[in-house]
Amino acid sequence: MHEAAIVESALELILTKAEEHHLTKIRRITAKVGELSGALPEAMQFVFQNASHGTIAEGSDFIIEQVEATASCGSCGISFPIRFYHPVCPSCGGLDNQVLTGYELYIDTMEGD
Amino acid sequence: MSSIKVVTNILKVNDELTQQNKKLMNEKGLYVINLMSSPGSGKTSILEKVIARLKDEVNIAVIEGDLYTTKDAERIEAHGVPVVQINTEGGCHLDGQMIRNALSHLNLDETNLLIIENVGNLICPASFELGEDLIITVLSTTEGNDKPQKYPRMFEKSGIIILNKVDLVPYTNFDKDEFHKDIREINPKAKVLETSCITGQGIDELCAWLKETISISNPV
Ligand SMILES: Nc1nc2c(ncn2[C@@H]2O[C@H](COP(=O)(O)OP(=O)(O)OP(=O)(O)O)[C@@H](O)[C@H]2O)c(=O)[nH]1
Ligand SMILES: [Mg+2]
Ligand SMILES: [Zn+2]
Ligand SMILES: [Zn+2]
Repeated sequence: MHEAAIVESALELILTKAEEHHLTKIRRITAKVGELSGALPEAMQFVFQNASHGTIAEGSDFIIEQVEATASCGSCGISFPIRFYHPVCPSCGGLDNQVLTGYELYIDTMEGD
Repeated sequence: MSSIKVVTNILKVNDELTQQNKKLMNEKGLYVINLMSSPGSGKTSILEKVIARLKDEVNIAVIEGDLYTTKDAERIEAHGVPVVQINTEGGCHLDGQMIRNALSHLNLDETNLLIIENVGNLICPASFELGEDLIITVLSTTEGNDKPQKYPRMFEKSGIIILNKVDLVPYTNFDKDEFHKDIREINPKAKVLETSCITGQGIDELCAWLKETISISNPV
């Protein structure tokens, strides 16, 4: 369950940022998590509720936006969603594709007082 | 109420540590391999074979990642090469901090090749870069040929993909053609090699590849 390690890093990042901005209470956090990042949003939620306990992020809304996995075709140039992890171009069948999105794993915004 | 645009990678701390480790390892002229697979695919067995063949020509050191035991480190130590054990105490992957600690226990000036055996796990070790020059992923024939499709990330990032335990193919439903086809789709650039630690198949070829790769990256 490496979501635990990921959320711990996330929380460290959030609390550091909060300190930089002199926040005493965090209300809302948004994170972007790609479909190919290997992190499960539900598991992250669960870990966050526990890990934030006793910090200024306790009780905040932790909003995870999942990012669709997409790739662009090296042969015909179109962009397409990756289905079942298979970056095969649906238009020309090309295999030489560049993954565009899906590996995101970052904190996007936060709000607090 | 204030709104802050953060836009920062969650694994930033690991990335920073890894960059520092990478810098140190580069300065010392190390070639670094991150060896990954599911539990029991044969990482340590392959490593033992490679060390036995190469240790007279290359100065090898090993970092062994394991949840709780020192069993793998003991197997490596028996071959007379320096080894550092990292116990992750339940953690399912190695990260930059652990590598940093391990590096401090090795004599880097006397090492050319550092092999890191990651924790047996086909999923998240792929997300934590360790500053390696090469990723080798091992799949064994008893795991089923659908695993690269189901867990593509590690295979996608690999320079070498090893299909181990090919001696057991007759006793499994492993479809080698499907496996090779899937690998070509997921990572057309990877070198793919079939090995058996029982018959020794593929081990010479693996050692030859490694020697070649190391000398290209680290001309004497
Ligand atoms: N038949 C057969 N057995 C093998 C082969 N390679 C390894 N084994 C056996 O598979 C088992 C696991 O091998 P290890 O080398 O310990 O695997 P590992 O990937 O290091 O395992 P962890 O570190 O626990 O993840 C051992 O019993 C080995 O003897 C092979 O090529 N053929
Ligand atoms: Mg092992
Ligand atoms: Zn993990
Ligand atoms: Zn195309």
